[in-house]
Amino acid sequence: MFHTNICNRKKPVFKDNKIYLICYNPPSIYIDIADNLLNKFLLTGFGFYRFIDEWTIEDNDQECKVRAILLYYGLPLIKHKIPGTKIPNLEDLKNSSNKYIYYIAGMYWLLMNLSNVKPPEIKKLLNLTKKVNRRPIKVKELEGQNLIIYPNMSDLLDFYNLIQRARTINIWDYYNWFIRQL
Amino acid sequence: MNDERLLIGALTLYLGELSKIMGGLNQHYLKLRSYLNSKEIKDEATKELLEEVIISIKTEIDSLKKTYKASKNIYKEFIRNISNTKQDLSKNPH
Repeated sequence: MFHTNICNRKKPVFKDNKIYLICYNPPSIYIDIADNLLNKFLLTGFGFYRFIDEWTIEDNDQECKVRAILLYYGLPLIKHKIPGTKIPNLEDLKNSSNKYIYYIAGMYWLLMNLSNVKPPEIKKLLNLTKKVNRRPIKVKELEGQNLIIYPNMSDLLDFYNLIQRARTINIWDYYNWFIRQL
Repeated sequence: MNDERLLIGALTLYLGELSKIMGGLNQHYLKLRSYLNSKEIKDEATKELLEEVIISIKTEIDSLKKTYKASKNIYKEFIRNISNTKQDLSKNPH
């Protein structure tokens, strides 16, 4: 079944049993299937399942509700604040006095909380913001919001590389390297 | 090359890398602190999220500092041992 408020019009494309990925790079918004081959790493590697929320989208003049992960310049956002947690969310972003800083803090929070994700995959996540070959849509919850920012992706990658090095650096790697040189 | 000398070589590189990582993380830490101290942030949610991240980065830096200090002491100890051995050998060449 599809959630739609306009019946018997064009065949809706979005299915209840699918999880979608909404790439929100204001002013453009694109949608894709989250568990397809290209995007699956977000669910398996990044554990973005916890960011799945219900969003209202408009496509082909039809309004539907979809279960999706919303990525705001690569930062996953749930719709509402969960009391007692710091999980980045649209409610706090909208109310933030500086959306750029909220985004940066959110990305650092995300990168600090990731484990076993290789730096190239972080690059893939951040590069999702550049891809425009997906299906353009409108998201009701995001309409009329001025959320355009200009994030510095290389800074975020640098931070992730550092934090990963900090957590994995090991004297024996250097020792073994020396032995191999003999 | 004996084990001690290999370890000294490894420790030299290790300490250099630790120092680089600490320096890099410290730059990110200072940038986030400057955001937190700026007057632009008026809402609690952004402040709290920034604070949480800053504390986590500080914890990582502090942990690296401890590792650095302990490794540096080991390094110094090795250097001391080697120079003592050299002195002993020069005193008693046979």
